[in-house]
Amino acid sequence: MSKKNNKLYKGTLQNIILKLLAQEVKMYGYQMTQRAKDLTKGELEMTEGALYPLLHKLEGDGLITSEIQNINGRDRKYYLLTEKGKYQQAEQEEEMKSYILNLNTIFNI
Amino acid sequence: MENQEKKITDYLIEKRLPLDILLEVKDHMEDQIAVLESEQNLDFDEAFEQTKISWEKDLKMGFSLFSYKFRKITRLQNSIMMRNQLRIQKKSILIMLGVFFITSYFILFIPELSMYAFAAISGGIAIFGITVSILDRKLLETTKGNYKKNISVFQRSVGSLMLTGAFFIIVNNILGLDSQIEKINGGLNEIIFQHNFRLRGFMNATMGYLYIYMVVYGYFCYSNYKKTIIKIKERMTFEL
Repeated sequence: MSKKNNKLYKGTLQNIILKLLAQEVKMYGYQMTQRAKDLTKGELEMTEGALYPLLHKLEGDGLITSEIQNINGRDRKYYLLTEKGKYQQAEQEEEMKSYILNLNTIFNI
Repeated sequence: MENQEKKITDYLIEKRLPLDILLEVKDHMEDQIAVLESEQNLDFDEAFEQTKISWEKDLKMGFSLFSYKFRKITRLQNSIMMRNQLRIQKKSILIMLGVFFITSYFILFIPELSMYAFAAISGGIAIFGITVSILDRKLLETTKGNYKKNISVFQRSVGSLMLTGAFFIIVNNILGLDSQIEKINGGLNEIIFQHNFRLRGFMNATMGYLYIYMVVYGYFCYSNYKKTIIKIKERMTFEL
């Protein structure tokens, strides 16, 4: 999924996508890859081959939904969180923060 | 501009992507190309070449479990199909297990009502499968092998599963109700009470539920396919 630290980011891609959508409300695929790259100063480069299968899965699970919008004459598929997705995102964010805190504690011994 | 769009579309058609994936990848590539053109001052062809390189691995073609008629598909399509299949199979198996546990409970503990319970659940699922197959037969025609357009990753998984499953339910679970209940009862007794785990006993206990699984799995694939068609129609004029 990412070109750097591939394995470390792998299990968290879903959390990252849900968090980005919670923050930005609606995003299209390319925008997500760029936003993640910008936020991590180029560290996290999501590949399309990891992003789209996951977006399709999340949509199938009812966590996100998509809508087509015409921007400057071009159709774009935007993804946004459903109510179920918002709830799950909030829950996962709490778990993630606690996980990061614990890791931080361990690696700062 | 139209020529540029055509170049991207032609490239993706070469990769045999179904329309739902093709549109999404095309959007992504157009964005990538636009950024490369403006940030690195490249012309369209140079930017397109760079974009193709970044997609090379994901659009590499090969055989997969999901290859329809032994045609090569891209890694991206394979990965999307794998995730979708896992999700749909999990849901279908859960429903099948639900039916299995409810009817097994009746068969083992309330045998006087077991026939009615099994017939009612099996019949309900069969009627449901037949009704959907008849009401939406035009759409279901597009999921069969002789239909040429490659529309969606769900398309070829639907086929006649609902109708076939319903047919087997009627023949085995409804018309052969007595013998089916006897088989399930015998199989369950062998496994649960005699701890005899022969394949035959297991088959007897579960066979009737596999037809139910066929209808449920077919329906989930169909409903995802239908949603995809609606999404495609939102963005383009599209005739089935």
